[in-house]
Amino acid sequence: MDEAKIRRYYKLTKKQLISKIIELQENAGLESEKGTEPEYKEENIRLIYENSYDIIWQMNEKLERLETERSRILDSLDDLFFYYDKDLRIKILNQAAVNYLGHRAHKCIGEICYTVWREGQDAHCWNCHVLESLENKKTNYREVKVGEKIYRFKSVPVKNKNGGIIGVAEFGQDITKVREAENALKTSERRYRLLTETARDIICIHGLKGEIKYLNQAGLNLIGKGPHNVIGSNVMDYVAPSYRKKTIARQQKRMKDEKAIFLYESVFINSDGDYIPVEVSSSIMRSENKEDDVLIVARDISERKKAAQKIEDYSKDLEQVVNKRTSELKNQKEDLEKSQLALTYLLEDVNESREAMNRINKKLEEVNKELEAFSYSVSHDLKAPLRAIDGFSQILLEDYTDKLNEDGKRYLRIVRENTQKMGDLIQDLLDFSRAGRKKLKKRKLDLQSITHDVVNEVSKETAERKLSFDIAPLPKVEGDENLIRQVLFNLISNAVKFTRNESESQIKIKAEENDAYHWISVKDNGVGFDMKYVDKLFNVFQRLHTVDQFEGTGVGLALVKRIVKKHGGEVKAEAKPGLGACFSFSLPKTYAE
Amino acid sequence: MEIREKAEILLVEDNPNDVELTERALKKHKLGVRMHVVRDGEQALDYIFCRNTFKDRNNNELPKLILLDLKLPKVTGLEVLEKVKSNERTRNIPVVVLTTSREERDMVKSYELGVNSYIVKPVDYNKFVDSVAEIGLYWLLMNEIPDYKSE
Repeated sequence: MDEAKIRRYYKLTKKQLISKIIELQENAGLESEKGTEPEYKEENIRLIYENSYDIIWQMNEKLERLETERSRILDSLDDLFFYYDKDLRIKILNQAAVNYLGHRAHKCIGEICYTVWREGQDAHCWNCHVLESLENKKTNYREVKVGEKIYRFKSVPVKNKNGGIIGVAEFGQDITKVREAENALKTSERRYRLLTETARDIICIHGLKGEIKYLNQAGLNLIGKGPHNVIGSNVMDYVAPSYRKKTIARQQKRMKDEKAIFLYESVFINSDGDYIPVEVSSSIMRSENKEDDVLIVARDISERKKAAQKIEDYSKDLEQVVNKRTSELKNQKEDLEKSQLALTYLLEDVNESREAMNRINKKLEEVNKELEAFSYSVSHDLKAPLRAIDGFSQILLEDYTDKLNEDGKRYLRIVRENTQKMGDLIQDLLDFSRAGRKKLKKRKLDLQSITHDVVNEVSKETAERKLSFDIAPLPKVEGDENLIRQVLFNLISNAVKFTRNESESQIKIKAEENDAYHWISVKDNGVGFDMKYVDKLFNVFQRLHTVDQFEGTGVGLALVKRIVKKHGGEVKAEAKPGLGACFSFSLPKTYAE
Repeated sequence: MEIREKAEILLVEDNPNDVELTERALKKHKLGVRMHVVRDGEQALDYIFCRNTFKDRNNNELPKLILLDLKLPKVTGLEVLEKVKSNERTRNIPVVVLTTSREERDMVKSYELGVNSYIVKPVDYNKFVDSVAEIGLYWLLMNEIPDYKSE
């Protein structure tokens, strides 16, 4: 039997045939010469053929079956599978491995592994785990990134019966998705950790018995302890004693209704023993394979409580203030009502008074009218007869001068003198009466120039007299020019009159002032008067001298007083008999310079 | 003199003493005037406007001067003044108020109505004579007025 026949018969390549032979030899316990490939020898073949044909046949069949079975099993795997011999030649590889390499399987079988790696796959070879497994006879692991994918390789040394290494089996698993999932999990966990660690609320996870498994930074800060002191301690240690019963009851209730989220207020204690009011939400954290945990999320509401307390205090204060204010307002309102009532009464009184006043004013007007009519007629009806008396006395003196003796003529002259006096008296009285009734025509007056005018006028009438006037600067005042002129005229002409007996009349006119008034005084060096009569001085028809001494009607000073009073001022007089007199009057400073 | 012969004064005065004193004063200064005297305001108006008792008077002969007292029976001096000064024909006749009253309001009212002079009669007779003479001289001899007879 020749080689070709056998190969054809068994459908074996020459190489395969040789391996088969080696196999057969090994199986038959025939050690081939170590390190050498069994040579194809006719006698060997024959030997095999002759002695073991059936065995070989049966074995081949079995082998084929096994190989097919193995291939199917291996090909059904998603994982890569390689088997290398001691020389790192690929002896077996499954479909996944073929796909991984991208070559056809027969191109790989028998090749040294690194000769078949494509670009990128050669990373495989650095610190080769397969080689390592050959050397240290242990299972080794290695992760390799090929393109976008990550593979996890496991090399397992394959030993023969005697424990000798005959090859290495390698399993490769695509763990890209697993790694992605792991990374996603890590990211997610990192994210949640960051979330809990940076949260301002307290986040705590504890077991069903209360043992703390996790407490975030906010919680540690609140309690004032490091994590090593807290983890494992019981959550009840941090609940205020008065709240513990409630907390336990809630825990039991929570177990019955696992889905519920509990919201409640509680009080924690920190390491200093301070009580901290908190708002808590708690729920059961379901775990697939472990015991369930409890999640506590708590918020420190001290500030809120304080604020609420403050608001409450404020509202209490406010309420008090409002109450106080309300009662004050009520009192004020009552007072106001009383005042209004009083005001009403007052108004009624005022109205009555006003009516009374109106009646009086009306009466006064009537009286004034009568008085005016009276003085009008006085001026007419009293003066007209006087003129007649005077006129006809004069006619008598003129036309009958030869028929009258001296006495007769003297009597007629006396008649005429008295008529004249009567006329003056009537005129003065009329002026006096008019000064009381007339409305003031007030305007700004320059007392200086008025005084000079009056002095000139008076001086003219008494040209024969030696008069010395000393006029100090006089103010500007407000008043009725005609009337003020009359006042000055009366005072100055009085001064001239009562200094008649002096060798030189010295008359000083000056002004002084205080806050409210100007005081104008006219001082002379004349006869003066006794101060005990000062009160009578300004009364109408009051005279301190006889007509023989000084002529006059006794109206002048009364008129001065009336005019000054009407301007809101006062009059006064000072004198000593024989040492002169000083008359002064005041005018309000209504006119501001 | 021609002017003197023609000159006519209307004296409106209710007091006969005053009339006599006025006439005497005028005479004393030899002012040869014809003077017509009426005793109240009504008569004064009748005379000036030729009515009633004076209806036969020549309407063209207007007085050259009116001396007017204010306090008069029936119609007052101020009313007479108002009528004279508001009439086109008589407006230019000089009117001198001669009164005893020194009431300011009378004085003011008179000037408002257009009086030519306002004289307060002095009690002193000598002064009175001087006043009357001055009035007569001024208004009759010195003053010229337009002539209405030509119209």
